[in-house]
Amino acid sequence: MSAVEVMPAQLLAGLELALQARGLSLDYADRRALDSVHLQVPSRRVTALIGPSGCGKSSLLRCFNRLNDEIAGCRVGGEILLFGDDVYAGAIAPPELRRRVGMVFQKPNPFPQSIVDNVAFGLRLAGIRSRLELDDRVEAALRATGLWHEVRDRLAASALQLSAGQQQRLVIARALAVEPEVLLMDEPASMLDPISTLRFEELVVALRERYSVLLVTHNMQQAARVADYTAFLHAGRLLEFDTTDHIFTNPRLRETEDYITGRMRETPLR
Amino acid sequence: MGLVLRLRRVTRRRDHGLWLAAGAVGLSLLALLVIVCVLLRQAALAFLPAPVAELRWHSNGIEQVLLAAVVEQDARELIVRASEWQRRGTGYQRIRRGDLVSLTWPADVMTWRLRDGRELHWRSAATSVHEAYAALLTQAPAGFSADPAGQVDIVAVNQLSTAGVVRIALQRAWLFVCSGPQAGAGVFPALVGTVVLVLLMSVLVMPLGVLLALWLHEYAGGRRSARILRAAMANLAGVPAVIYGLFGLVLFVDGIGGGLDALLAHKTPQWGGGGLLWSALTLALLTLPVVVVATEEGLGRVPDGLRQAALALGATRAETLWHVVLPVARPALLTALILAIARAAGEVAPLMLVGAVKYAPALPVDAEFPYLHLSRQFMHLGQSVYDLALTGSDAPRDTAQAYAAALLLLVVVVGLNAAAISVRNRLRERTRELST
Amino acid sequence: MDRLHLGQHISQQFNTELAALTKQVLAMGGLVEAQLATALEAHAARDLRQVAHVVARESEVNAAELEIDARCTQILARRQPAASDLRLVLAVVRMVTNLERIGDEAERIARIAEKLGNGEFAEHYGVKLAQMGSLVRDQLRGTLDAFARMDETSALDWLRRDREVDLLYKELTRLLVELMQRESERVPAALELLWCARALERIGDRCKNIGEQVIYLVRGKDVRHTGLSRSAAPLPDAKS
Repeated sequence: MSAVEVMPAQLLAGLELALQARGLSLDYADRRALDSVHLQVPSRRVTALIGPSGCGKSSLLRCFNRLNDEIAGCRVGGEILLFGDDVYAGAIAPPELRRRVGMVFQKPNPFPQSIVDNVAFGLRLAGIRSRLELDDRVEAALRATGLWHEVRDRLAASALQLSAGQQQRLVIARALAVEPEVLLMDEPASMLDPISTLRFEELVVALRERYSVLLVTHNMQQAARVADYTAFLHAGRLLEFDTTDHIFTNPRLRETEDYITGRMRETPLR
Repeated sequence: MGLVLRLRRVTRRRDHGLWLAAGAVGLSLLALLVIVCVLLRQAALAFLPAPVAELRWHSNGIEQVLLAAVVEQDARELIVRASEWQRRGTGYQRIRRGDLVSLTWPADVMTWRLRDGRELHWRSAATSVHEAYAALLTQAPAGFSADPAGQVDIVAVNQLSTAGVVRIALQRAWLFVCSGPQAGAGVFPALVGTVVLVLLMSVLVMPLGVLLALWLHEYAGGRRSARILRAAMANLAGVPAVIYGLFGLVLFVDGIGGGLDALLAHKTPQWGGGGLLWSALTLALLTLPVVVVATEEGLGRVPDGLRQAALALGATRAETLWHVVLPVARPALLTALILAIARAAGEVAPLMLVGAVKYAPALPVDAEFPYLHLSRQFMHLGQSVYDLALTGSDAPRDTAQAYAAALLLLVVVVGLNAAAISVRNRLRERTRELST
Repeated sequence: MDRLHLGQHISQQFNTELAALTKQVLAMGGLVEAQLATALEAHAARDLRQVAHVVARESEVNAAELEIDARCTQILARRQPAASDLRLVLAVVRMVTNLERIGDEAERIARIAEKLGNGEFAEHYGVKLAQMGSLVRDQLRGTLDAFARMDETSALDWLRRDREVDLLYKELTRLLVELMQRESERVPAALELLWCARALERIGDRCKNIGEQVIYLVRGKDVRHTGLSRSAAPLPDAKS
């Protein structure tokens, strides 16, 4: 399945591409998780990845920051480009790559440290030692996520005392602090209450001003609300990629339609 | 009242599992209580001043008079301990009840326990130590001498009040803990030896064990070498301690120690004999499986999300481990340490082979450079218990002191554990929210 | 019905709701269809009782419109439908509006029949009007049938046949204008006839709108204002 088939021609014409997967395949020790995936993630847009459980969404996401490398017996084929640089070619070391491609996980996972230490974690790894600069960038990151006003009086308090929604925003602030180019989000709102979810979505929409966001979500309404583009992944293949409007009003494929309208059959199609 | 209500609620619930569990808990608590009581009771015998009787009896038609403490008695005979004018353990006598003429408890008996553990009894109505000492000299056999300077432990033993008895007992117990064997039966060197040994063992085993566990859990994965190592650990945990002693003797003392001596051309073996370092290493080996297993388990409980978060922020594996995984796993590391200490502090058998001795001339730590003397032989409370209980020359008293030493060992283990546990609990408090 | 697989949702409840919705739309369509037929009969037979019938039906049609609208609102609020489900609900909302208007036009036709009473008219005009009426009736039935079968090609056919209605309307208009020029005393009756023809022509347009919604529903293409009905081109972008 080539890039031309999964998306309308000229869909991303004129847009800078933050991430590209070309013929990407991923094998775990015992099974194939992704099969010749062609995906283009435009810069400064929110792109949603949807698809049934086990379709390879998270696996695909973790290819972009090479987090799959940490799994034994995991093999990646094909190419991934980050603003034109081949990610797997060895030109970029994984830690450097991960600084350029931040990630937010499903479960809010702040470190059991103070709020400020959490946000400064990546900065310290990057070798920033100056107290002044650390403070500045921590504040900027917290402001960007709208958390600054909620926590400015208790920066030294444990991050674990925050609510789940605040923790998730803290984790985003932590990822933003190192100023990545791309932000990967793996079902980031699935553990949040509805209000926190809305606030989070608001944040994602605001983030597209500066970042390219690739968002995996199970919540189709969420994809519909925040994403500019939506990709439908099924059984390890990227089946359809289009503007979110298109996907949610008139998808090209029966499979996409079945999934977003809640008609997905239990057995995979192929 | 609240307890009664709660008990009633529990009984009404008819939960058999609960009953069994409560039974098990009760039984363990009872066993613990019994152990502590026995130790306390037996240890007290070593320190409580025994009342002294004046015995008169016929021996071969001659009437004998003796001041002595009654150690044991039954229907046929008495075993008494009279003044030990020469050496400790020489005052015991057996008297048949049939020969006994009278047994009285005169009020004016003085008892003096010397620093070397001997006890002397004599009669004197004196009120000052000096007068009492003068009276002692008149009653002592020829050739006796002792220096009374600073000896406050001269008491009119039969006139002591309960408070007095307790005071004297505590004084003696304190002396027991703080003095060396050269001045009677003190266990101070053994106490120091035990603590230093356990600390040194901890310092040796923790880094090694933690690194091993890190490798096993974070790097090796399902690799063959890891499986083999894990199996080896499981088996090592089951090896009897004395085997470790033999192993340490062969590897550390004879192998490495002997090699070192040869290398450094020492005329008298310095490293090639049993010593503190070799003992600590042997104990470290002994406790390594415990540390590795406990640490690995703790590492397994560190949420994977934290590792991934650190990696996703651009941390290398090593940075992730150092900045995130280990700090979170700290309580588990302390648990490992606690288990290691509990296992090591009570271990005696292997130490006898690699460095613990009945009598060491010097402490392993002192004010002399390099302060910690790794090659020195040392004394150990466990060894002291063994020696006192089995090889003492003065069985009734030594046995009691063995109990006292055992109690002290227990206190040391509990103290070390309590310290580690309190640190761990403070750490847990900090990471408690993490587990939810 | 199930070209759109409306009955295959994981939620049975949702299946039932959508099925009930389409059924209700078809029922309303049947109601309007009957109204139109009765109105046309009333015209042909000058039967005033039939007129009363048509007028009485009107309130039923209105009630149906309100109920279907409420149902659609409910589905939108509670199910947040997407893709074909969303299009179905949107199409239904638009369709019922058109159906209701068709009902109004039918009522108008019936009232005109009442006004015309037993006045004389040349066969000629009556035949033309009846022809137009039957054409529009067929168009309405055919379009509703296309909706029932989710058959966008048939919907397109009926959409294109609206031109025939338009042609007939133009011809009838011309004839009536000529009549009015010739015989000024028949102008009022001719005007009524013209109104009637105009109502039929509007019904045709409404049917066209409904047909467009059927195409939107099945194809996801909004073909309003695209001149599709005037061209002979096939539907674009066949769905895979």
